[in-house]
Amino acid sequence: MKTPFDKSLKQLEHDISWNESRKQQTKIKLVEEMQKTGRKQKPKGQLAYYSSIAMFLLVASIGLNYLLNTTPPIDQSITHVEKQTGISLKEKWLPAFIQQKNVLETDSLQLTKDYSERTEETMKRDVEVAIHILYLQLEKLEEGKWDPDFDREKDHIIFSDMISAANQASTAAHLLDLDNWLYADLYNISPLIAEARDKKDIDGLVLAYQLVHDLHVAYNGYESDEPSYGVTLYRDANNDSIREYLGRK
Amino acid sequence: MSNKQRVITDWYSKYSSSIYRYILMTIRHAHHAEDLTQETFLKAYKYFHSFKWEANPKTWLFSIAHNVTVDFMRKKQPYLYLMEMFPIKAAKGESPDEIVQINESSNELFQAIGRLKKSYREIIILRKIKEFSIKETAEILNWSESKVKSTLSRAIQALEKELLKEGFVYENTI
Repeated sequence: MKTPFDKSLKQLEHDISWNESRKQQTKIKLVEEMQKTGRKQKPKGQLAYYSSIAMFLLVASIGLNYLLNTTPPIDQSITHVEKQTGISLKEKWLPAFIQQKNVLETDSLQLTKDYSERTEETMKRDVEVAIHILYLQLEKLEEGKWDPDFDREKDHIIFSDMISAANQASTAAHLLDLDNWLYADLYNISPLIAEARDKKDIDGLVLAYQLVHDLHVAYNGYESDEPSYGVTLYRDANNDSIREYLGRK
Repeated sequence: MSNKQRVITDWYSKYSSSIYRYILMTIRHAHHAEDLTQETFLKAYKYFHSFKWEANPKTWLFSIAHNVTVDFMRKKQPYLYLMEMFPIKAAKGESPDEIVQINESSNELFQAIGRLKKSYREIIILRKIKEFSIKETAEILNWSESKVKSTLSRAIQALEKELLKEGFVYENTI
């Protein structure tokens, strides 16, 4: 049982607050250091990288040669599998295909990578791009194309990608002094995703989707077929469900 | 930004404040605590390959923070002795208040914990303030679970004495 003294000690954790801007500055320094470390490590790994590619090509050519000489024609093998399992080959392999595609779609949508190159223009774009990227990933969840496994490294990386994008957007909104409500909504995305991930809760991710969807419509001007979910401060002046999920209500 | 960097920045967003407070309470220097917080995450980045995904990243990060702090204290022993005399000083003219705010009501407790020996300080922070389990605390400090239990009991008594010396009486201290 907790004594009043235990409570006083616990309270100490809440009574010490690290200045938020100092925390952000330290984060920027950390990112710079990580980028420097990453650059330093590249030359070391180059030999191993090229050797592994050469080895892969060698093994692949031997393997391909073997397969061409031993496997029946493709049509014959498809019919065989379908007869055996009773399901079409397309159905059988579709989940794996979706899993392969289960990454953030950032090919054409890039956030500013180097903080030192950040300008007002790039930050404005970062806000738009982050919302768009988050929408694309969470839309997959809504459409059943992404079934997150909360214990898998690959999905943890997707969560980290989303949290990182949301943080970059909220930091940009803060630095650009954008609408306070927009900032608050962007700021909430990251804890919302983190909470859902930690609780292994799909409903939390769905809530994050709704928030991002409404921001994509309201801020980016996306034309959606879906109605507003009414969960943003920026558009609806109401984020009760978000606050409730984050235990702030 | 690589996947690894994204995971580390995500962890930074989630745990950096808690780790900063842990380091601050351990070394009692606002500015160095910032540097060591950064170093903790940088070390996590460098040794990311050794992290096991079934483990709790918070415990792993705290064990790194503990090691970083121990290294710092070893190297800066004479300097820390001076710091004991001038607690919570920030470097280069920066006011500690610009870096960290400590609520007045908790200040005495903060100072009293700072006067304890390091092992007592850490066990109280991890078990009573951060509320890590005995197993997690043992993992962070690289101690046995029985050592965690016995040291905690002695540490609480020492803290109580410190508070009494200053004239503070907490109800049901132990």
